[in-house]
Amino acid sequence: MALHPIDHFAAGHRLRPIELLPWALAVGYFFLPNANLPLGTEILIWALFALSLDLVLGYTGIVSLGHAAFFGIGAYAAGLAARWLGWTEPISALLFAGLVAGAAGIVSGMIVLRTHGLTLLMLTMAVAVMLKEIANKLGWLTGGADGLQGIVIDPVLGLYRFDMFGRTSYVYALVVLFLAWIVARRIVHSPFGRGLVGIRENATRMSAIGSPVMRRMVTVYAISAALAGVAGALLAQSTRYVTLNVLSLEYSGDVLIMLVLGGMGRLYGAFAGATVFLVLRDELSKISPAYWGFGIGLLLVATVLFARGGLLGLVDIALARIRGKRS
Amino acid sequence: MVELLRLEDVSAGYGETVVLENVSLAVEASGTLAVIGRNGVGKTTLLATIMGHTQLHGGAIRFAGIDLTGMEAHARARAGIGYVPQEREIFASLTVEENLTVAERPGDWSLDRVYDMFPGLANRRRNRGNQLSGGEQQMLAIGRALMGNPKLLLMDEPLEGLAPVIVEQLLAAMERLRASGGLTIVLVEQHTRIALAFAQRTLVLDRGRVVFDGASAELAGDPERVARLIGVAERS
Repeated sequence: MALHPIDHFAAGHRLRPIELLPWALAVGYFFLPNANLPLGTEILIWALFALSLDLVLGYTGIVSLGHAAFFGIGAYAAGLAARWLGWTEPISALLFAGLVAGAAGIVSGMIVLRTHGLTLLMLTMAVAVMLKEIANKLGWLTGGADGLQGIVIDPVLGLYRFDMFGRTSYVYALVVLFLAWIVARRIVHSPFGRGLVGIRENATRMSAIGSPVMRRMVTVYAISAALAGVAGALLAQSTRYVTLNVLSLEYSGDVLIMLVLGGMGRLYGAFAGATVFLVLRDELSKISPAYWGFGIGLLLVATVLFARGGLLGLVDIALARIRGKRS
Repeated sequence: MVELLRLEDVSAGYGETVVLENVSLAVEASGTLAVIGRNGVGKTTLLATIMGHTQLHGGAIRFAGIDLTGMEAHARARAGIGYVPQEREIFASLTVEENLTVAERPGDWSLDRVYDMFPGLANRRRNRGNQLSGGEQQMLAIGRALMGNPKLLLMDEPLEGLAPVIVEQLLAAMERLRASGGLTIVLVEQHTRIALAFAQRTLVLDRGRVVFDGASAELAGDPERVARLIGVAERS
């Protein structure tokens, strides 16, 4: 009996044991006696943010310099809901933030995705810049440059309080990232996801085989925006504070660098890139608080020159050589 | 017979540049039409215009009773037009199977049927598009178009640049497609003899205009007329 297409995809993309490695490492890290859980939480949040960018950039080829717009919308949605509406239940607020960011993704996507190249790049950046300026001007609501303070978040599931050691935040972020990864993995290995790769490679051809390219691009842009929004909300909930930085070009640039470092269009590149970037930043800033960016920049230059597939691309090359020698 | 495709005084091109001028043609359902002519006379532009990839400057295109004017390319594909482009344009990083299934729509054509037509593709189903030979890529391009279950298949020089043995295989597959009877085929081809032998009717284009539209048999027995119409000695 013939398999349905989605079964063909599923058969080709069954979970491999190696895919559980990052999760095993993340769980194991939690139990280390000297684990820096606040840094670990930050890595998990940025990994989710980078994962969201991978869907649009790595898989669909939509270049964005303003992805922080959705991260910031999610952060402010969760923060404002808690601060002004008393919506302090974290999980429902997280979903709310994702929906708001996803809706923003639909609206902005329908406008910016009609363009290509430099125009698209500038428009994505402009959206983030405008949102940051709006957040700044609405100081009475957002706290402006002083940031949104006084956020209270209830214990997760009514049981687990956000503690000063970051235990709850870490586990909470890890579970959310895991669920988002399942969603993203399902998407990229579905016919819809393979269609996104087709759009990245040749949008005209995809259109000629009956794919509504614009609709698919807006759809994945909205999904990506929602995931970025969830990441922003996680940051707001775990720090109980939202600054204008969440909408900054710096955040948009950082997440792009993380993805390039880790490897685009691979899902796991987001994990590797966020980890390397934030651990390196942490270690380098201990050596030189002012010039840690130099080290990151050096690594980025080396990556784009010698490892076009990012760090995971290097792993692929190494594995291929080992297999080649064996055969 | 029922008419499937009709172009009426179509003028089209790229931007302001007009390549096709007042082209009219009609293709019956289950019929075959060959489009021949020298390089640069507008053969590829004709197919691209039917697909909606060019700027339509005038005229009308009707397909299965639907006015295609202003319709986006993906809607034309969904209406039942399949397109095999000259450059094949396989998705390089997708596997053979993924290249086929991204184009799948409900109908008689399925993975199994495409693999039955091109057994070589079945053996390469897990290979990526960029790992295929030119002939395999061409088979995949045809298979991908068929997965959309079209009523009309537009093929742009599918035999170009292929080894004779591969050309034989593809021609056999195209013959099977024609014999199946359910598909209308428009074939753009440089090899005049092959085109005339394949299609019931032939359209000759010269500088964007139709200079002949009639039975292929009319030209097949008159090489001198073919040479006059095309302007160069025919290719075998």
